[in-house]
Amino acid sequence: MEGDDVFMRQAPTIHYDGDRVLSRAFVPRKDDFGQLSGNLMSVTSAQFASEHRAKTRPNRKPPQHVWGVSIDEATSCGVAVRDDSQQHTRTPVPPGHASLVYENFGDVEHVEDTAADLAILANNRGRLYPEAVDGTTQDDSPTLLDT
Amino acid sequence: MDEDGAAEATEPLRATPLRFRNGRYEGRGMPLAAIDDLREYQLLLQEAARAIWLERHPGSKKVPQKVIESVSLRLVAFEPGSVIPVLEREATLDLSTDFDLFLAAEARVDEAFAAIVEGRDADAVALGIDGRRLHAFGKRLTTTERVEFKRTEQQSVTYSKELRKASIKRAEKPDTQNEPKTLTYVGLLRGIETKENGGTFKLRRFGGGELGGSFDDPESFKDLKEALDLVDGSSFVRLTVRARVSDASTTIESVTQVEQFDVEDSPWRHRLRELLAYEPSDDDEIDHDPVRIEDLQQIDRLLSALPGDLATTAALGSAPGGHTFAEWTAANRLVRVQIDEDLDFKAYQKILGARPAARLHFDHVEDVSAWVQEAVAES
Repeated sequence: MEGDDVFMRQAPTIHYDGDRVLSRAFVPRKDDFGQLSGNLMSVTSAQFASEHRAKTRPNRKPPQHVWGVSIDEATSCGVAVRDDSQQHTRTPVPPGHASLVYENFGDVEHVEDTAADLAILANNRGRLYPEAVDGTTQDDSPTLLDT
Repeated sequence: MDEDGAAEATEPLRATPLRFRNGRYEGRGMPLAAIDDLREYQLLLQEAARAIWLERHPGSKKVPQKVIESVSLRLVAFEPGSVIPVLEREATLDLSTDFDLFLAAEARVDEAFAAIVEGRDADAVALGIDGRRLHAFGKRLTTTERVEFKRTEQQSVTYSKELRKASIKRAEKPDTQNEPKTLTYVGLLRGIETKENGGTFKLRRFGGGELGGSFDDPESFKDLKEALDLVDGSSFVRLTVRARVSDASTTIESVTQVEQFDVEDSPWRHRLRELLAYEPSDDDEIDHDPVRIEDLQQIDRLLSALPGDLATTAALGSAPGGHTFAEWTAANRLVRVQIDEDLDFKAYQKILGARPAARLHFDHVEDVSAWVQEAVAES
């Protein structure tokens, strides 16, 4: 993984005007007791997501609700980024997937606070979703990210 | 019972006959190896009886042992044709009430096997009989052998080794496309038609297209009718339905919930509507719970209480748990108000690099509105 790779996390149902980032996009889901149900947040590399989308849904515009964080941004906030494709897990993932690792954060609020920082950084960077690969995105209707 | 409390002598009641056909059952008597299936059959009846008894006694968690024991069989003879084991009901059965638990259990087991034969395994399990228990019956049948459940004089269900094998295979690898799913749809109701025991409706969906569906209970009709009467361009509904989805079509089989959404016209109204209508797609990696309508109404109250520029620039979203929030992001901070479980306002402000951020709770919309204005002004 290169340091400037942008990893993305899709946040369902975010609605916004302009380039705004949902901090929840980088927070693992809580369980019924308000605890984090995991300490890893799965993210996908921008390049992988773009290629996958171009292959599987060539006529669809990119999703509006995808947010990115670079490895450098994550590490500057104290979050490790783990290359999942290198892990010997029970369910190996294809290359291009990684995890934000919150293993040593201790509590949910610390994770939420750090995720909010990541959101602010990503928001400051501006447009997040990568350009379509080889112009395969044929739907020219504007998205909110086109502002 | 007589005055002494002793059970009166009654003729033993015969259970509805099972018929075993072909293969080993063509000979005289019954192969000893097949007797185990009769024992499994009794266990099936008892499990069905247990389920029925619990349904009839909703406050109870356990079924008295005597109730289970009342559904017992006694093998008294064999009749030819190929082999019909003559099964009698044990005399311990209390027949003093009108409801015959034994007959109800028999009918339920028959119904379960009829469902399996038709490939509707989920319907069989929904009758309260464990799938493994159902599959334990017929384990010893050979390829040519059959068991007939005599449902009525005219109808019977025939079970075989192949049918059992197919059902086990389906259980191991369920065909999720054929199973009914719970789905939600948002839009405007365009019409309802009633038929015997239910009816049909049409929904013009936000996001395009018209959807037809069925409902099967009077309560759904009442709710749908009420929602239809309210449609004036400003009200819409979210329907929670049970539907079977395939590549070719979506068949709505029943309506489980009708919710009306009605807020005053505003610049953010369409965004609230989009949030409500959100349907997770294949691209969504986060499990997502439905947005609560009450949450959206609270967000609407908050935005209405804010100055116009703040209201229109809020990012609106729903956390994976379904809770809705409004959020403002500036160069160095993030301000968020989320609706909590009790519909109160949970407010949060995070300054880049600083921690921890305080979590505040507000009961009144005026208070949280003032807090948001102050927090965003500091950016």
